[in-house]
Amino acid sequence: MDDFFADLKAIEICAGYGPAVVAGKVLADLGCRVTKVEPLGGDLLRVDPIDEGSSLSLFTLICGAKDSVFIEIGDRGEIGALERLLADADILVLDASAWQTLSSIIGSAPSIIDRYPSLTICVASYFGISGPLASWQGSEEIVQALSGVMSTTGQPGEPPVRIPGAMLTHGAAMCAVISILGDLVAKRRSGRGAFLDCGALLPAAAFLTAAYPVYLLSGEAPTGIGNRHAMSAPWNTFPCSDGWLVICAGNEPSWRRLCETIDRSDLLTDPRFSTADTRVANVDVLEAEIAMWTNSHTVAQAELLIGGNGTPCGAIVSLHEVIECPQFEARSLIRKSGDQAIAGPFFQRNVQSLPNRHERSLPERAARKTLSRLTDVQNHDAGSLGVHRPSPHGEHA
Amino acid sequence: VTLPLEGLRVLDLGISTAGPYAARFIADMGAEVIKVEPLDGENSRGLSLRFGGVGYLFHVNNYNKKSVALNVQSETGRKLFLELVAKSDAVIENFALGTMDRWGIGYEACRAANPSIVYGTAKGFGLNGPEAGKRAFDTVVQAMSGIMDMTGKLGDPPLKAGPSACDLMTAMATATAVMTGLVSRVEGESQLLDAALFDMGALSMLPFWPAACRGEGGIHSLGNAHPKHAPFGAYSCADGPVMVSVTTDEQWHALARLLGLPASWGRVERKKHEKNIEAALSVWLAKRTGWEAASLLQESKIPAAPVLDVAQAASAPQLESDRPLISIGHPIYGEMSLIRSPVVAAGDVGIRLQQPTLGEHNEEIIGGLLGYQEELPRLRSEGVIG
Repeated sequence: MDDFFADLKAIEICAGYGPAVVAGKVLADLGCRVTKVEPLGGDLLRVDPIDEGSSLSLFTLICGAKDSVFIEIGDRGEIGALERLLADADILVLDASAWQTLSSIIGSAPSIIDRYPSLTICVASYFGISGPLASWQGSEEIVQALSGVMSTTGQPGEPPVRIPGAMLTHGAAMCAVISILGDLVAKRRSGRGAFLDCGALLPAAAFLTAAYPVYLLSGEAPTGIGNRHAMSAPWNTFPCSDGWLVICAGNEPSWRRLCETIDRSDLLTDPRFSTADTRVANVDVLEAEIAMWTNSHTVAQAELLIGGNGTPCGAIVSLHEVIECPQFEARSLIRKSGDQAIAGPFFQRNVQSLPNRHERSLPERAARKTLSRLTDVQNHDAGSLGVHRPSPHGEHA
Repeated sequence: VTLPLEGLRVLDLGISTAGPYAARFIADMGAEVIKVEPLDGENSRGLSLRFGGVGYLFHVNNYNKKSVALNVQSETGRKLFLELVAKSDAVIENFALGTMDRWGIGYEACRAANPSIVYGTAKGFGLNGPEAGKRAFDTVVQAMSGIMDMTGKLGDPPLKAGPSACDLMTAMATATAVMTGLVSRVEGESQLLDAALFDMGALSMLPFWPAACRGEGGIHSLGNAHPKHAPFGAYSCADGPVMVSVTTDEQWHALARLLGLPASWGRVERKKHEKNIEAALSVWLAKRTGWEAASLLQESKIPAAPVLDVAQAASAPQLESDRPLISIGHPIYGEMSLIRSPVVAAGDVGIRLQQPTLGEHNEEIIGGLLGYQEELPRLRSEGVIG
């Protein structure tokens, strides 16, 4: 089992933070030997000082489990080194810009796969490599804007708001990895890898499973509704004496438990709130009744009482608090490899044989392999390939 | 062309979004996915926003699948389910922690029935940690994973992402996890794959983790702006907003030429001069439509796009090759549009099977595959199948 991914070699060529670098991280977390090909000056994430003053480095978080070599893929003199890497690889994952450069030098996808039949090529990018927008520069925010995702976020009557972070980028990366893994199965039959053009617009549309039905049924494009739920109430953020609490009591059992907790069983018999539909229709009045109770409690008190009685609720937590919280640690969302902090896996994987049970967590396996991999590259592969492995600070080995 | 997972069988016990959507992606890749529903149907069939009397979410999440209506909480239903597990390659579920075990069909029961089973589970907080037993919906996890605190303008109340972001990312993570298991499957080894809404919410904020740990009060919401980059935001054009995000010197050099501002400004100086830059950019944008402005900026390699609503995104000629909707003619529900699959394979990952009616494949699966054809009337009368 462990050998399957440990035996796979992936090459990653991309700049900055996008679907390709995240797809490479998911493959590295699985135990694949992922080699990141960087320009001589180092990847954008290494050279941008945006992390200065932080205990965390974005480059290390996302690339810490990968090997790295410096090759200028636009330099024909260095293509020999890259070709040797490709000859030994199972997967090539790259962004659209890298693909444009690479294909202009070493040929089209079919010709590359003719030379390296076991290679799966995946362009994981924001706009793909065909279509009217193929030449566009993408980013998380640009795809949020173009896909309609941004238009569904915001307070009622106010302009669209972007969602911080990398939700769509991660979604596109996971769809790319699903596609890559599918091709690993397919080429067992065909003996030949495929070229997979994975853009981010369709993964972004996959995030609109609630918005598109509204549009398709009403003909009207939905807009932001704040923190409410279109079909359930009460479902919102509620003001407490020292902050905000999310309460989601959309179904009947939760609604009954909430009324019981806040000592308002009268609401259960109030005709304005007797059904899910009437609660949605009278949501302003309903929320005001609940807010009277939450306002007189702290977030911690309200969360303890409401959550303790089985109604889904949660405090609004800052990102720093999230990173410090026990759940974050328990899920190994940051793991240490030497003095490096690497982001944890997108999912946990436990493998068990019958009758003897053995469990190994993925982070431990990946970290062990990374150490041996670095030794390999520094002592052997780098020399034979004529390429270099940078130190964590971006210097040549 | 054969789809990658043809010949593999997956059981989908998912409800609502994370489980069923994950199973749909696996179905899109060619697996035979059997949706195991309670006798009154999986809950999304009954949600509002209905088409043909069925919640639209069900239609979206469940094409390319078969359906059996099986009461797994009955003793006979449990036994039949485990017989199905023995003939399958994977199970996907997203019930609250402990539910499947309470019904006697959790991971340990499944691996006893099939020692090679791939078992994918999606939970609010995963299988371990102090919050593992906490009841969670997407909005609760958005609050607890830092998304809501970071979304919206500074000083405004916290704001959630419009989509059920954590649910949907977890669907994708669960599908990726199950694919991992299926690809690496070895006879006699079972795999437990554990995805969590909390993990996906927290990981989605990864680009901001370094800033959150900078020790200067962390990081706070900035609306559409970026804490370190400028110009970065949604700016008004003649017909609506356009999103512009300049994050590299090369992009700034191109924009500076258009705006007549100093190209020499680095990232820190650009942030310092943010107001001046935005004023100049606003003048430049005001004369153009969103598409015109975005196209001109993109010609200079500057990331920009009009902010579209879903109606515009569904019909814009510029998005022709990434059209998000696909139309089908369903024999029961009629003509309708569904969201296209985001996964890619050498074969066609389109709609092979239309979304099933409840228990549509009872005869094929319970009667044919499990060999209980003669028993079907009795199983129906006993309330084991629908």
